[in-house]
Amino acid sequence: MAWIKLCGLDDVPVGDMRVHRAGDVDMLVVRGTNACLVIPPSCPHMANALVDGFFDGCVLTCNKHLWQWSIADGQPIGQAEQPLLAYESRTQDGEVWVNLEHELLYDHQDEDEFD
Amino acid sequence: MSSIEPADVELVTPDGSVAYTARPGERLLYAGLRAGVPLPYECASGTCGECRARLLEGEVRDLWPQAPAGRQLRRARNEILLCQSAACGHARLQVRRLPGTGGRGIRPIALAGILSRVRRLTPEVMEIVVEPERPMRFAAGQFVLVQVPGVAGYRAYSMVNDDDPAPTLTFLVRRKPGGGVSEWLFGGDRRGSRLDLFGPLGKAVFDPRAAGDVVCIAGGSGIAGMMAIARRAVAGNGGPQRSVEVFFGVRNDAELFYAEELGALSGRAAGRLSVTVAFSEGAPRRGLESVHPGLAFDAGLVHEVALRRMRSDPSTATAFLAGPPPAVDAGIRGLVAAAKFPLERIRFDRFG
Repeated sequence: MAWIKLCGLDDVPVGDMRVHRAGDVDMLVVRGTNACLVIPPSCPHMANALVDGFFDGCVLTCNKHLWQWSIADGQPIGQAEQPLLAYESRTQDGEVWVNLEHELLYDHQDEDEFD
Repeated sequence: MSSIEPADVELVTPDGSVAYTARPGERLLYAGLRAGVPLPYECASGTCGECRARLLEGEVRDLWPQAPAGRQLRRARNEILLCQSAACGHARLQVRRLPGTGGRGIRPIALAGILSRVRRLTPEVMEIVVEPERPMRFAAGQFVLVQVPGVAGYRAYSMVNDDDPAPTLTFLVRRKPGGGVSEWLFGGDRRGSRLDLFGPLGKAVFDPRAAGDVVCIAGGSGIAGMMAIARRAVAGNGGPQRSVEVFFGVRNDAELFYAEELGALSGRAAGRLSVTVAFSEGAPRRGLESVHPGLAFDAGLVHEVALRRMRSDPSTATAFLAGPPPAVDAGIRGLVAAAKFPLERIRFDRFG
């Protein structure tokens, strides 16, 4: 267990998303009105960069095949078939911190998926 | 293993196993789709990677090791593309999901065709007419995979025509330096050649039973499938009456094609079809409207022009997009973010 400072809260405007790096792991910080979600930067479907998608403050949409998730809990909406993975994170004193144990990967990236 | 015997293919999915038979040398994707197995695919021609699967048992032959989607594969995990792999005997594979067939449930078939007519529309775009050995049924917006003599692999082309069943298939081919099929076509008179066809495929189809207006946004040769969609959408055939807006992006006046066809379609539709041509390079010269009755002209990228001029109600309309991937991306972005189009009524098939 290692808590790492990922970025300043002000680095990500409300209703927007940015990629930041913790150690050598890229993470996408999605900042809703009330909360931040810190997730792997690629879509669980075909690994498209989620930062190229759309975020309206509540719902994140991948622009490749229009999969969508609620940023409150990372759960799929509409056509999406898989939930988002999320890093344990917290915001304090204007900073976003994540608990990085290992990089989170989706099944298409995970070597051990079927084993 | 020799590949003379048909191959038994077993697919392991999260919802259980499915079995089908592939002909000797047949691509695993095509064999499955032909058998009615709703395999995942999008381009079916080696560029998108949607049909990747993991080989658990047996052997397959890679028919196109340089396929662009090969980059996405984890070879160490025995990942393969179903569209570029032929079984050699029994094979057991794992796919992540079986998404459903789409395309109004018309099962694709493999058949031969003869290239019967060609027409050069611009220096860069050719219209070709292929006669399949049997008439084909398809939904407007679908495509067929075409393999030409001496060029490995299939390429996807959308049907311009919309007759059902169709005794001939009309496609648009853009000249692409280094593109095997386009160099073959543009390099000589190929009429009379025998082609291999597999189709119809594609899920971005027009449903004549659905109510609501239709918006078509196409860049370049992406207009092909939109011709079929627009024609069927205004025809009605006893279904709901609707308005259709076509936005067609080309670089400039010299690259414009199908102006006559689109103008005639708009004339026949008696006010229910509007066609706007967007020039991405420079403003349209004055008087173009009188040269091409029935067409409107505007300057800008096609998605910008569409968002600016679209009159259809996003809460009930269906939008179709086709063309170069960056143009499709920009169009989706505009429809979602600016026009607030509901996602389930934005239709496109990705080829890259």
